[in-house]
Amino acid sequence: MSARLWAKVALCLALAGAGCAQRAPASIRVVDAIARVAPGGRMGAVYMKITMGTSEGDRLVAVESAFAQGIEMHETIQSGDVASMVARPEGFEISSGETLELRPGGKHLMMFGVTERAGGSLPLVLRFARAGTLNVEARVVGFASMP
Amino acid sequence: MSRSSIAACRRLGAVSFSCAALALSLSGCEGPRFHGTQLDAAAEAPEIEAADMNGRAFRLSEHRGSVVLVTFGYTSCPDVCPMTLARLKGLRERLGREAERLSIVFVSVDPERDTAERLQSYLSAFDPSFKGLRVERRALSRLLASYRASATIRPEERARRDTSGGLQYNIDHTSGYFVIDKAGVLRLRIGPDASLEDIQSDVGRLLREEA
Repeated sequence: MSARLWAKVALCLALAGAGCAQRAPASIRVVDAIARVAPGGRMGAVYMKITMGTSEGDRLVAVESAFAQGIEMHETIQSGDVASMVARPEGFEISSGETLELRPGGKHLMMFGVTERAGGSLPLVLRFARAGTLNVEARVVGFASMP
Repeated sequence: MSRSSIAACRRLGAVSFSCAALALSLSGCEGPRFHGTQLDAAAEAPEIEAADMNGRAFRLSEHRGSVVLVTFGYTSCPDVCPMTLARLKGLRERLGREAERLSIVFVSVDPERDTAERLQSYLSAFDPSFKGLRVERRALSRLLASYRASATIRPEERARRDTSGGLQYNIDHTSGYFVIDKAGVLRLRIGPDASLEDIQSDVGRLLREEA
């Protein structure tokens, strides 16, 4: 494991530790988290549903993983037959009581430089503007699996 | 109503029914409509000529007798292209033995990053029979124009790099499918949102046509 990867693992462990970061309340619920990783781990995508059960809305502002060099928030926009992938560095707003669906062909997370974990799970740290961090595990599915 | 007017109505009814039946049978001669957009010009599909990902020469015009489905994309695309290719994998599985006369061609719109090795590794994750083509930029522009397709990198994307310094730009590109029949005619344009059932119906119909 490279020094950079160890640093990321350490960072994530630190973020997960109660004393180092505000933990998101249990009322933020994440289900159906899946990750598709391209051969060689050059890049991949993550999809999930995030339900904001808090009294106030919140914003997903960053996502990290010890097993990805970077994760960006993106949105695929279809204009006629042309598909565009637009970076959303501002993150995704989720109103109280609403569910944000990260799905193929819509809002999603793009990963690059992924350590391959076929058939396993990919630990992710979701960072919210108000609620702090939330650790989730995305199930790694085959790159060619049907969405 | 008098007995004679009832008889007249019955005759009229019989004539109307016959006309309706004739209309139905005539429309039946044309067969059901395709789900995808039928292209007006029944002309030969624009030639596609390139080296495939295995270094072999590919020439579309040499695929007469097969239905060829062409899609444009790039291997750094994490969302739309894998979705498209996963559906095409599903299409081949659904078609079963009929798929033996179907060629699926993925034309890279990113020749700068998509090497033959990358295309090979990306496409073989879906189906080893998929053909990945790398066309040099200038020829690619001509090819895209001939299919009325596009692939553009937004100016703000051009210099985007990932944390390891690699180019990380995204490409806005025509998605969906172009379908060429066994005679080499570009027959259908199927949109990216078409259901797998509709794609199977359209491609299956072309596969069952005589060459």
